[in-house]
Amino acid sequence: MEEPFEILEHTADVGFRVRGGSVAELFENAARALASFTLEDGGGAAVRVVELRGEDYESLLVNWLSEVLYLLDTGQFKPRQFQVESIRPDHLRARLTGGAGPAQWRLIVKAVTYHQIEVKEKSGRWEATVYLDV
Amino acid sequence: MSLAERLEQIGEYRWRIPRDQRLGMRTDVVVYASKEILAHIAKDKSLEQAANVATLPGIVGSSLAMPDIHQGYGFPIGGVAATDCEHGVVSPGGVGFDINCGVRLVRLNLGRAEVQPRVRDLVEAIFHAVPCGTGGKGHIDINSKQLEQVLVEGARWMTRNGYGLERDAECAEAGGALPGADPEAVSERAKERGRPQIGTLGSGNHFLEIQYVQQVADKEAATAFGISEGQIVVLIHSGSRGLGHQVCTDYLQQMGAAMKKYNIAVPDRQLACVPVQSPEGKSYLAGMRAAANFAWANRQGITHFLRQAIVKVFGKGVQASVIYDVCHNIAKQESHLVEGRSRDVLVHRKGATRAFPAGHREVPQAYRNIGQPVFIPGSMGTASWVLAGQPGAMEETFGTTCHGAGRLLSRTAAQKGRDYRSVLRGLEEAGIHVRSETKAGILEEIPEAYKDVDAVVEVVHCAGIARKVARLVPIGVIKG
Repeated sequence: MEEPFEILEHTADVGFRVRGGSVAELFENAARALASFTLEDGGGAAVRVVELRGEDYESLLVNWLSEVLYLLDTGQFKPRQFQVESIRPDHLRARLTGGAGPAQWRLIVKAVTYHQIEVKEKSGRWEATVYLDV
Repeated sequence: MSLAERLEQIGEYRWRIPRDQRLGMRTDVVVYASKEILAHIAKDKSLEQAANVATLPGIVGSSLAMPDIHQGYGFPIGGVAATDCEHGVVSPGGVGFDINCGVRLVRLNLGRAEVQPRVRDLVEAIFHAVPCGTGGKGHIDINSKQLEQVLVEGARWMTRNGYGLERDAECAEAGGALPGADPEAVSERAKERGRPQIGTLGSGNHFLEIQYVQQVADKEAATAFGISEGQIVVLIHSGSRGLGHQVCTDYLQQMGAAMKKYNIAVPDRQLACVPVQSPEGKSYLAGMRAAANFAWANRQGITHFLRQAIVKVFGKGVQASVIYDVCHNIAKQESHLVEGRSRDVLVHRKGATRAFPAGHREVPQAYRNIGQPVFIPGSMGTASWVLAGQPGAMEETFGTTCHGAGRLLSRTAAQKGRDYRSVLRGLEEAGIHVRSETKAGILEEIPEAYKDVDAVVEVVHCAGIARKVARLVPIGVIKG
């Protein structure tokens, strides 16, 4: 199956383009992409529900990925599965599944940037571009 | 016509994009570069980003681009912008996520002849003593109250608590702690990310390098900095780790709504900014200063573990003395002469280093007749430079020079078609022993990924911004 994301070139940092059949799936795939860049595969069955606010889909996406990054970096709960339960441009509610176990890092991502951030819909398919500071 | 085609040459190493060349620019862009370097700069979006910076409300003087400029996010890396402290804005993107990422140089009373035969032992000892790499937890346990003290006192808290010598903090920009830091302006999340990471190197382009002084270009300055040809020095490149990254993330989240309130529009969301004197601006600056102080404490912790590793390999008789410590991601309130009058400005240095000249009161007494030491790390396996601030920096660049070689290749392009083992073998053959936690850490930072550091330094030297003091060549590299 084709990966729902691809890496983009940037002189200093790492960018990716992600796709989804709905905006919820787009956000889920973006979180999966971030987790796959940063950590080797891991498991866990702990569940955490997060609720976030934004001003539009772009800022909501930055806030969502920043939330995932914070969880990955602090290590108490490393989310692996992402289920967006409800989403509108200013609000997101999602169920995260993962564990606290030790995980091998691939790459430290410092932050999720607003640089050239874009969330767009075309003929029912959603696509976003995100750059990470690494 | 692209912005590169609109550049006018205004001096041997100076180029200008006049403000009327693009809508919204409030000032000119001035680029410091040779013709060869300019050809590289024109290949990515860094000139466009420097032009975007020129649209910031309250910008004073020109939007400046150093010769190591490359495309960043929002601000270009190698960009400098001064804004009016009363009527201008502060932009967290003008500092970056790694607040007070910087460089510390430590000199050893050992020569290359003594260290080269044991460089493997030293690299291994440092690799085990200094936590590095992805998400590394440090060896320093501090509680919440102590972290708040660190955020105010910076490197001084560390030396006061047994992690170094009192003199170490005195030999850092701002004495290792910026005034006006407020731990309350740092979120619990930022504190949670940062607390276990104090005294850790991190990953990405952060590294620790054992180098020898290959050539002295200015004997008087080198003597004042305590270095001579053949001497061993250690260069530490790290920043404020997860704490600083989270501080920037937190404030960028708040900026969108605040910009609407102040009716500010910017061409790139990563350039988000608010008035310096607004509650949001003051709060960001108080948090940024706290993160900067954390970074100085972090480099102090690394210095402490470095000394332990040196003692382990060479015994207790070896001295490791801090020469100086500079930050290259920061916004600092400074007074500068602008068109003949003194103005208080907030100098955003995004991948740029302060370079105050001789006589400036912020240059430590020991270097007051020479100029502030500046350290320019090159890429892994190539040279680094020690420079000294020159009067030209005060006249033209708000007391600022370049910060490194500047990337040419993206991290993915650097890895493409290259074999980890052959890169390591090439470095070994060049007499450089490398230890990295990850293969990607080596491949991403290959020498070919960066501009020629000698050519970058030549520009600032000839432009009279900072002068060459000594060229350093690595023999050992520790990477995250």
